[in-house]
Amino acid sequence: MPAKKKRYGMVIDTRKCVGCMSCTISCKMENGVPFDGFRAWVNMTERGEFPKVKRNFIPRLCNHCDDAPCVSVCPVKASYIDDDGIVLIDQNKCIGCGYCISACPYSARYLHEGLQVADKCTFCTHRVKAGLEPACVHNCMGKARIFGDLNDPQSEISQHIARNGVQTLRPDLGTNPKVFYVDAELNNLPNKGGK
Amino acid sequence: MNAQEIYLVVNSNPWQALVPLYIFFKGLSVGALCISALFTVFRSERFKRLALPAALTSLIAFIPAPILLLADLHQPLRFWHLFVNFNPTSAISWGTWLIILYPLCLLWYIARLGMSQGISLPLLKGVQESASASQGQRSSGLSLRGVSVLTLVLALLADLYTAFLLGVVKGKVLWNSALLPGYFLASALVTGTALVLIVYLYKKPEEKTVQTLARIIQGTLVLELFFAFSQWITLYATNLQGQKTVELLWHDPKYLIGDIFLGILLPIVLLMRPSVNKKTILTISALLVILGGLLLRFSIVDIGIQAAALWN
Ligand code: SF4
Ligand code: SF4
Repeated sequence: MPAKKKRYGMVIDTRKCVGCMSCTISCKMENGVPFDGFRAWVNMTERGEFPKVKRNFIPRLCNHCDDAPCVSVCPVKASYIDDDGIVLIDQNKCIGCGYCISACPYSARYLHEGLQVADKCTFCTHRVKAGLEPACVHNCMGKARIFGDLNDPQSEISQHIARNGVQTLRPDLGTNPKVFYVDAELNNLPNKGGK
Repeated sequence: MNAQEIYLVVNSNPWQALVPLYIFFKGLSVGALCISALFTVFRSERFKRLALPAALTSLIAFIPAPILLLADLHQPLRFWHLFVNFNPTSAISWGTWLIILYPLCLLWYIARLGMSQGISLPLLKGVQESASASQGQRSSGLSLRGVSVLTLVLALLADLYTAFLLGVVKGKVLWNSALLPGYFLASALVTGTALVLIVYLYKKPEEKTVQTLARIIQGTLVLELFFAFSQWITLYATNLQGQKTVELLWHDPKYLIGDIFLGILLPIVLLMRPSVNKKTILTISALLVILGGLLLRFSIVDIGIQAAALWN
């Protein structure tokens, strides 16, 4: 039987995220992300009623959507999904029209000020090909990020998803993200479609 | 459970002034062409004298559009990638061909229209010569109509594609609306007509034609108001993002004062009793309409991005 294709994804367990932002910094260093753009960043939320208030963090990155609007709108096919399900940009092909940046509902893309093309998280594909984890996963001090093959039921990511309730961002948009959140209570956030 | 995002990062959007300006100039051109087509396609004799000046106005109004589009690419020298990588699911891919075919067809149309009215256009001499050569034995009236219908269809598609370009974007409620194509088309028609009115007022205008143009502008402005109202009501009823979007629109002076008040309501009143003798009032009204159309494009693009940023 031919080996099943890989389908890379990430789980972010917000119970373990302490908001240290090492993911943001390590991503910037690993990928030469300029000052005014972000491939990875961390949003903050507050939950509950006084005095029982809790702050938690929602680390963010490209969701590597299975039905990626950024790919379908790219007029020159510079944005594409590779064989492992990673959404990438061929920056030699990109004309810098910015349509994908507008079309991404998650604000995951930005215009690289130096290269003058679209840029975003690649799941550190250069590291993954070398058998390493993405820089944000490797440097996460709370071990809140799990990266791996969603098609492999034995992988740590698949096991974590099976054992914990997960949510994705804006499922109403039908983009089918491959970044999953544990305990982010996205359904309670008014700007994520919740009440 | 009470929960809210208290700190969020939003990557900035590179679509700034050039995109709304591009949409605006293309709309101006398409609107002016529609006035020309009233004679060439819909056979209204009243617009016979106006057909050629309106078509020329349309051509001139189009000139900034491709320049703006090219300037908006952050890699302008790679524009040719658009021709060799057609993506059928991208509105820009379709638009690229439309904005090439439309002006070419418009040139052809102007040449044929000039010929049919016995006017030789020095700048289009070559086009007119090849048009008369290819015309051969066919009756010029029928052929002109064919070219006119083709040009009008291309013009409408060239205008509509930008509305679909914004309309297909997920998660931006202001753009992702079935009202947008109609709204943009109405705005294109009204701004183009206003520009033609200004040109016509300084070319020995006929009273009846001026009145008809003013009525077209007034009628289309009312249609625009209808689209604006429908947008507010549907957005407000949709969800929290829709409500925030309406609030942002109403707090945007470009939209509320610029487009709704100066660009729509004031001209509707000023154009109540149009007459050739009121050249100044007509010109001011037409200029206000054009300004309103410009500001509308800016606010739709800006607010669409701003409102969605909190919902990423
Ligand atoms: S999160 Fe945005 S950039 Fe990433 S795949 Fe989805 S639509 Fe594209
Ligand atoms: S900015 Fe580049 S990747 Fe994005 S849609 Fe335009 S050409 Fe495609």
